[in-house]
Amino acid sequence: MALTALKYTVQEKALILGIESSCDETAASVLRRQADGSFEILSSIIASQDEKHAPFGGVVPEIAARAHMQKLDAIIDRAVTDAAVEYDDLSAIAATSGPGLIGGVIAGLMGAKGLAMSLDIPLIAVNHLEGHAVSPKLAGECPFPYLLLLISGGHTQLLSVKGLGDYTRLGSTVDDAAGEAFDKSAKVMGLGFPGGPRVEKTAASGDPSAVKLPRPFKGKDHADFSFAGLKTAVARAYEASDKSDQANADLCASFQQAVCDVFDDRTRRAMALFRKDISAEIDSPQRFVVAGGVAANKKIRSSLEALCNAQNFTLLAPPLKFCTDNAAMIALAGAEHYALGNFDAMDVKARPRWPLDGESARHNPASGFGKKGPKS
Amino acid sequence: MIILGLDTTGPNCSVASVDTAKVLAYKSEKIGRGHAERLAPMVAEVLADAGLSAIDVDKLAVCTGPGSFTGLRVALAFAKGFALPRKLPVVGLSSLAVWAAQADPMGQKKVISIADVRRGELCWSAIFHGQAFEGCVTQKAEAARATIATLKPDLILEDEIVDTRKLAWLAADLSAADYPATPLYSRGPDAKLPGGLEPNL
Repeated sequence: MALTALKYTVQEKALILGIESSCDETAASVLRRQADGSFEILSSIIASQDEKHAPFGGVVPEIAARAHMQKLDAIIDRAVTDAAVEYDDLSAIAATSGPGLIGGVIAGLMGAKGLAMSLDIPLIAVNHLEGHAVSPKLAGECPFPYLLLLISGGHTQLLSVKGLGDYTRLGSTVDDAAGEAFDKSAKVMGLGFPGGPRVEKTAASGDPSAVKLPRPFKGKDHADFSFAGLKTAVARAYEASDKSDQANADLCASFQQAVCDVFDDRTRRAMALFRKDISAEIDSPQRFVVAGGVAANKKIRSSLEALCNAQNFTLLAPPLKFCTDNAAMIALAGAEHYALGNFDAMDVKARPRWPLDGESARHNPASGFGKKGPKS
Repeated sequence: MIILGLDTTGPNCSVASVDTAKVLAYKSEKIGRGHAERLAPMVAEVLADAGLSAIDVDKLAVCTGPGSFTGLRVALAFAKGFALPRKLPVVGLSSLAVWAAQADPMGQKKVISIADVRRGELCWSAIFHGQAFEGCVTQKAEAARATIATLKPDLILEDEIVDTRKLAWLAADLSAADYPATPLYSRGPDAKLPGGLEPNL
């Protein structure tokens, strides 16, 4: 039997199994795609590892990889059972093959290779970021183009999303991701993990102007981010404080405000770059999508809402279950590639880094194994 | 019964397909790294060489470790995925047990298998007269060697290569319930609690 990616043909109606394991969520989902391109999520199972990482105040890669290995087959099995389909009905297996924590990515991708070979159906290696980029479509109609702000524990970037595989990265973090800044801030203050919700809760009774913190890159004419300095400033301010409940509340509120200001400034810049990128009029109405776990923060959401109103953008935020890491978005990105016949060979690599722009959206050797680029 | 044997725990990437009477096809390549890329194509090649399709496989046998944590998960995850649709049994055996069976096929000797798991530590197992396909201990090299000497083994095996033909054959008579494909990690994950404390994992 020839197990090349070329031997498979595209069926008009397809059932795609998606697998996600790039950070601390083990997830699987079954999606049905119709001939007209419409789709339906038949199941979406997510097993979070938060409890395993909580004592460490952050995601520990080897703990994550072990947990993925342990749960992967049961989660996949549940996704297929919940979708009320049979394995033999599946048309293709789509799995995250990067960017992310490599131990977890390899576990998920190898499971996908095993499944695809066993069922003799195509394998589709999906860029995790492409999953996030198409995730607004999971919640309903969201036509291209749109400006995407992806803010999570592993990623912080602004993307011009013009179509499937057609992305321009307008800005990204040069050091830490936004979610990482929340987690690390929570960690130094002893608030627990994951940090986002804890910081938000503590900030509720604080004064956002109480502690003077930097707004990295504010006013710069690019749209990149930096959070390392802000993280350090929070640690210093905490050390210098009396560590009372009120001091912690003030620090959390001030930190959250600094992050809001940074998002406001960087996104405002990206909005101008986005209109330029798609050759749109200067005040033309456009769509703005915010995705990723950090988008759950209400303060950040309302600040971005105000910005959108002022800049003539419509804000779209996928519901949280599609906003954070999930496999439905991987199945969706996989389904779109499936329809185009974009299949991968059995030797496809897991990539710790895989920038999502232009020609590098798929199979860019420059972002291959071991080459350290900017965090993608 | 067709059994597929897989090993990605060491420098070699190896796949064998056997039935209860003979080896149908076998490959072993010393690649050092890149097991995640090489394994699946190698399985396809071994199946093709044997004139088999994926649907013909009845059972999988996987080496569970010790070895590189990422490496040992490559074959385990592949096998779990491969087994899922038809709920095939996946038997897991440690490399230590397979080495012993390779060197002492009749189970007549007192064998000690030792894997160097780095950081001055050895992961070892005593397999006497073919008994004990399970159980191993990770110790500082000096302590390990002292204990091993008191056991007066007939044969000491160190850092051998797993023969997946042997692995698959051994699995023929074993049940996945007794020998589950669970990773054999020679130590806990590298992680310190805030304040540099050792976690109790």
